[in-house]
Amino acid sequence: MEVDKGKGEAEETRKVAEADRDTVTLKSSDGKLFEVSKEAAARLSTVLAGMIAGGSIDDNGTDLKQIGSEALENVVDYCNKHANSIPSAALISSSISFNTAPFKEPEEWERKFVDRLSHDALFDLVEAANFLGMERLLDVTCHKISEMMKGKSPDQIREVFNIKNDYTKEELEEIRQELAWAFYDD
Amino acid sequence: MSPAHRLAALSARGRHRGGAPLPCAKRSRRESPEANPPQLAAAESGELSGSGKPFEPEQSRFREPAPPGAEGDESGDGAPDRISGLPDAILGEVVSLLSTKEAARTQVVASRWRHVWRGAPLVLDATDLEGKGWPVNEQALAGAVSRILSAHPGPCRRFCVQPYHLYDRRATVDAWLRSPALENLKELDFCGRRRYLRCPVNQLAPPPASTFRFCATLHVATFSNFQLLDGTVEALQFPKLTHLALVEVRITEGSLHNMISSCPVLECLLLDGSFGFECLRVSCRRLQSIAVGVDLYFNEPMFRKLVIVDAPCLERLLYLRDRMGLLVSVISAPKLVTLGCLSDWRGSETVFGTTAIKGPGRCFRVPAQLIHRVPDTMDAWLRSPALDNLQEIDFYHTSFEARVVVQDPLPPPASVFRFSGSLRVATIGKCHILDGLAETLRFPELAHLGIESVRISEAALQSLISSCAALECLFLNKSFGFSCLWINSSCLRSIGLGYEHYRGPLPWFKELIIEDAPRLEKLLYAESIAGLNLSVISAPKLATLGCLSNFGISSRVLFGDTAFQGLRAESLMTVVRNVKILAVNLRVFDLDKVIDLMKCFPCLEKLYVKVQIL
Repeated sequence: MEVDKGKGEAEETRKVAEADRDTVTLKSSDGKLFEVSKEAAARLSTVLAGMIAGGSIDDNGTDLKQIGSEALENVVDYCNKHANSIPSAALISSSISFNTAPFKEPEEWERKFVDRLSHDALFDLVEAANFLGMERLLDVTCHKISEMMKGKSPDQIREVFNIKNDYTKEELEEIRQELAWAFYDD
Repeated sequence: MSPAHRLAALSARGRHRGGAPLPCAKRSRRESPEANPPQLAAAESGELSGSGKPFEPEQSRFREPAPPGAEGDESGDGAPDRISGLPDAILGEVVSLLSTKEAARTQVVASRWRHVWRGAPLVLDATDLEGKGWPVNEQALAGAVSRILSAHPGPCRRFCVQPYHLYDRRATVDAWLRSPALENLKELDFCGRRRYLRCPVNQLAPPPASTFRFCATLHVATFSNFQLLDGTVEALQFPKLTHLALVEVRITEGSLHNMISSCPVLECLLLDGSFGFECLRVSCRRLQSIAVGVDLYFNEPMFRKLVIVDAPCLERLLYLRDRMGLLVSVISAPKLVTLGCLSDWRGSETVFGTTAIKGPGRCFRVPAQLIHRVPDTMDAWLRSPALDNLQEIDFYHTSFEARVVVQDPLPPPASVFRFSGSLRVATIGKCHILDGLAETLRFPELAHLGIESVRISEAALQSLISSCAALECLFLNKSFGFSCLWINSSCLRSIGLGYEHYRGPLPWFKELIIEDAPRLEKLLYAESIAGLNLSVISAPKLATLGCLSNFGISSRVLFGDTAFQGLRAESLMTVVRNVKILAVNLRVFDLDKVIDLMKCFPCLEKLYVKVQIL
């Protein structure tokens, strides 16, 4: 979805349709330009919505200094996919669970979208989604991270995420006592 | 103001809102909840009660960055710890997606995680605390629930308890429901998924009044194993409730109607084993799904009639169980596309009665054994105009029935084949496809075909498959009457072969020959197909293969010139280059065997090994 236009070209785009462009151009920390549907950006990101409404969108590329090009590409890709996705027929025809809340579950394409990301790219995307106030994308990425933790012991969780255990033995024992109910079966 | 400045200002505000002190592992565990950083609590309650500043609600859940110093130190082995660097609110979100036990256990991962659980929205599912032992120690379980509710400051997203506590420790349940941690609860579940009724139906107790203090905030509610009194229901309003389940609840007809009309945004309604009413008339503007399960009760009014008067958004009507012969009448449900049984515990005798459903049915799911139990009813269902131009049909097996092989199944009702022109997905189960029949049929749209526990001759199977010109996925499971299947298909993309147990007088499946399948990508088969010979002559795109196994009577797999007997390559003339994903099943782990095998598949990207004994 990358546009990567030269400066001159971007200038031209600006002149063509100043007011009623239906896309916005975003610029990553390393200066790459990306174009994204204005409607999707406003719907999915509270921050971009605020900027669009407040007229603080720069047609030469709105600077997003905290987001690298790889993460921004994923954000833009997600927005565009979201703009094109129709609720799947599978969702309608499959037997549904009545007892679980329906709103948080990621859709199939969203699952695939995050599944293909590397460990680092996933966390870059979480940070970008957080930065841009993208609730849905945060839900989807958080869901993925929780999937990576499910069914794992604390040791395994440390291993998966490279977390350093900074507790002393006594501290660990104290917490385990406090949470005896959570370790009941182990 | 430049966007960057604006963002900086936003995150500064976020930080201000959060105001989280640095987490510290040594902090006393008996601190009052106020001393804990309830950043998410602040954000959530702001969102729920709308008490936030007028400009802010959109940003109220904006997650502030993690306090510096909480960043995970880079440990010696290279890769950085990305997760510990995330803001508390995001970690909290992740933790709240775990099971109740797992969420609490994250506290022992590292000191960075010590306070995350308390700051995260609580998900308290008491069924998760039951442990593996049997019988469940209910006293200990109740103790754990009390402990969690006093340790966690809230808010609670979901609270799920077994209804039996209501009978064994009513005061405790009342105390739970009054706990400040449950303020603004969104989901209340008295475990309607399990069936627990412990007392005679005429002694069902009403729930404690505290149950209803969440009416204004509930999105999802499952009431189960109690009786709802008229006086109570009359006063209730559920302005946000989208999912309502009444499982084994005693409620009068008037109250049931009152209750449903007090949920203006209701989308899903589940009525399972509830009683005290005879007829339900549904007029519900937003309702999308309705599921009913009917049980037999003596000396109590029983659910006999369901009338869908006006449900403009209704898409699904599902039967959970029906021992009574519920009469369903649909007056207006223009979007209804799915009708079906989720299970047929003790057999379903549902009559479609005066069904007048408008709009095409898209999917019809029904247990396969009903073909044998109630062939006439099945035939009547299939002839219903509601199912005209059906796209998906699924004769499925319940898990118990799946194990039973019917040696001499009946043919399916002829009416099923009236959908041959429109079907896209079909699972045929537990029936006998007669020879003449398959030859006359054409399924031009069918992309997915499943054949399970079906008796079918070799000729009939071949002609059935070749009558599906657009077939992409084929699944064969426990079917018999044929021994060899030749695949010649220009569109087939995946083939799945399931368990094969049949050892009767008829031929059983012994050989699969893929002669020409230019688009075939996946070939999957269960390990227990003993002695299946598989030959792949031409499948240039076949990238996923599994599961090769080396026990029982091993299968022989032939790839062009390369033959495998079990896991052992017999003749190694050429290597198989197109396979990228391979699954193997070994009884005893043998590294040499695995390495030898990998030599035959030089382009492997993923190898799955299942080992019985390490």
